[in-house]
Amino acid sequence: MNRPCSEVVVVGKARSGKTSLCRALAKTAESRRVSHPYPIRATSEQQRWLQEHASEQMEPMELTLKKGFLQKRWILRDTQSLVDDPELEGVRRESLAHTLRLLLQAEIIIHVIDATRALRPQRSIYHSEKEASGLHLQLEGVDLELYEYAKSRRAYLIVMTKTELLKVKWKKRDIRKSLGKIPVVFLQGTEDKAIDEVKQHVWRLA
Amino acid sequence: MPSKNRWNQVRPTQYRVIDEFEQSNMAVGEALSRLSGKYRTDEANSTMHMTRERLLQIISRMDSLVGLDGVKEMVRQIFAHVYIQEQRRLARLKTDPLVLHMVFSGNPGTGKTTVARLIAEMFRDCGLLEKGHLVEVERADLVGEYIGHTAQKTRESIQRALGGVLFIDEAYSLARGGNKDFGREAIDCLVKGIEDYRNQFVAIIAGYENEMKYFLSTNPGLPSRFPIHLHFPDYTLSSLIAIARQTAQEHQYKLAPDAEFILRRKIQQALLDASREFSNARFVRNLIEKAIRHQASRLFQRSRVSREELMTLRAEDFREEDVF
Ligand SMILES: Nc1nc2c(ncn2[C@@H]2O[C@H](COP(=O)(O)OP(=O)(O)OP(=O)(O)O)[C@@H](O)[C@H]2O)c(=O)[nH]1
Ligand SMILES: Nc1ncnc2c1ncn2[C@@H]1O[C@H](COP(=O)(O)OP(=O)(O)OP(=O)(O)O)[C@@H](O)[C@H]1O
Ligand SMILES: [Mg+2]
Ligand SMILES: [Mg+2]
Repeated sequence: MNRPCSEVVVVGKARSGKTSLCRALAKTAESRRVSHPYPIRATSEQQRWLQEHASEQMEPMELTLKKGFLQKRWILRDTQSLVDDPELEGVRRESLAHTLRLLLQAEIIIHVIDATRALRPQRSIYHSEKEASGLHLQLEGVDLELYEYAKSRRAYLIVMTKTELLKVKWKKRDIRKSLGKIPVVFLQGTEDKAIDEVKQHVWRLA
Repeated sequence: MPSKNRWNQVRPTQYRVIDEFEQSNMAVGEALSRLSGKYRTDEANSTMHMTRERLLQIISRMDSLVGLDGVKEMVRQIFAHVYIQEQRRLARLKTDPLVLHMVFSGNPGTGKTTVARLIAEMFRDCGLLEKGHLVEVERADLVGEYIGHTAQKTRESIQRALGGVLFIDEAYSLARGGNKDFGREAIDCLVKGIEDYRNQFVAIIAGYENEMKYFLSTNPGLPSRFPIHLHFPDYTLSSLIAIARQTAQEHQYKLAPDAEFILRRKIQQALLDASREFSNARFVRNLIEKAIRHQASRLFQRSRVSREELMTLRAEDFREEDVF
């Protein structure tokens, strides 16, 4: 009976809203701190470093979702932000390797993307004209590489945060279209309705 | 101590990537691309050993093109960027990876294929591409009829283009058919090819402006892989006349003053005729080539022709309708 729960790992770039999302999920679902050992653990040194240095990090949580009489449990894992710096050293590198292992082994990957950075009018350093209409999803750097890795996984969910801060008009439909079959949830702050959507996807993807 | 995992298969090589990540100075992005089975070997083969003078000389090859000032300026910027990145690399400063894939937008006959061919040669001359040839393909060359066929056709096209430029005309039509269409598969395959053969070829996708914008928005991996956008505006009347003169000159002909007058009128008419699509420089070239044929039949009527006459296109060579 003591089989480990499946894992939901929340990953993304720095300040994208990973911890906020985890907190919102924990608040609205039944959750408790994980006390017994689970397969993938950070070393205490890594943990101490994370607590001191990552801006804010939630400890792994056991998350219970219910639908009628059914209930499922997950371990929800907040992670260190993916920093694309080859010069990383020591504990920072170790804890990032830890994040990668979590990513590899998780059942569900939630990729958190800051909409104010990734949704942009089509433009580039060489572009000759001013601006195209609307905003499009343009993934770059680690976001793109994470997307390329995760899209081949069975359970991959994208959460776009901070969409209420976008100043230009944009359409959810355009973004959905560009992502094909990959589900995406749009968060405005950590407002409840969209968080429910995240939970539904987690339930469905499991 | 990787645990057993019920939900997805983790391959031992993937753990090895992470171990290597932990012990080297690999960036997280590289670790992720290796986890998805892609390898890149950037640094090693970034090779542009160029003096500034030689580079300027290569860039000046564009001067023979009429007009296209915006395009020429962009190409100059690209070469400046490449050159400075190389200098920074030599000075051991941070460099961006070179991404030279491009989007060309513009109406028919505005010089997209011509410039692509030139760029391929220019990249070869400065050591960025090995062969510098141009492989021109369109939807039918990439998209197959049954499952697996598309991937095979796209792969073959990419392989033919290695060392040169893969020029995809009307790329927009790949994204046209909706999610089930094999065109999407071709796009995915192209993106994969771009990763697999990093720095070994340059992809240029071409089409009408709005369609290209839509095309890029259909796949989030595309915009950052095609960072260079060149727009080819329609030619002005005076540019078209200049192209006519140049075309004639290439064939060792020249335009008599009255011929130039009638040519100008023909072009003006075509510009105003909204019922037919205007094919810019191609229209002008065709006019000249037709006139050359007419001149030949005109001169054939006579028993003696001077050198001067052999070289001159007259108004009547442009006037009559095509009799062939
Ligand atoms: N306006 C707005 N702000 C948000 C939203 N989500 C997160 N934030 C803010 O973004 C900032 C970063 O959020 P965090 O949740 O700490 O982000 P993180 O990804 O955990 O950051 P690191 O752990 O430092 O990588 C905080 O100031 C949040 O309040 C959102 O949907 N809208
Ligand atoms: N700036 C120019 N100066 C001289 N000749 C030109 C110029 N631009 C185009 N041409 C000539 O016009 C013809 C058509 O050009 P090209 O094939 O490059 O157009 P294109 O944009 O690729 O057209 P399409 O979209 O129909 O494929 C070619 O024969 C080319 O040599
Ligand atoms: Mg955090
Ligand atoms: Mg062409």
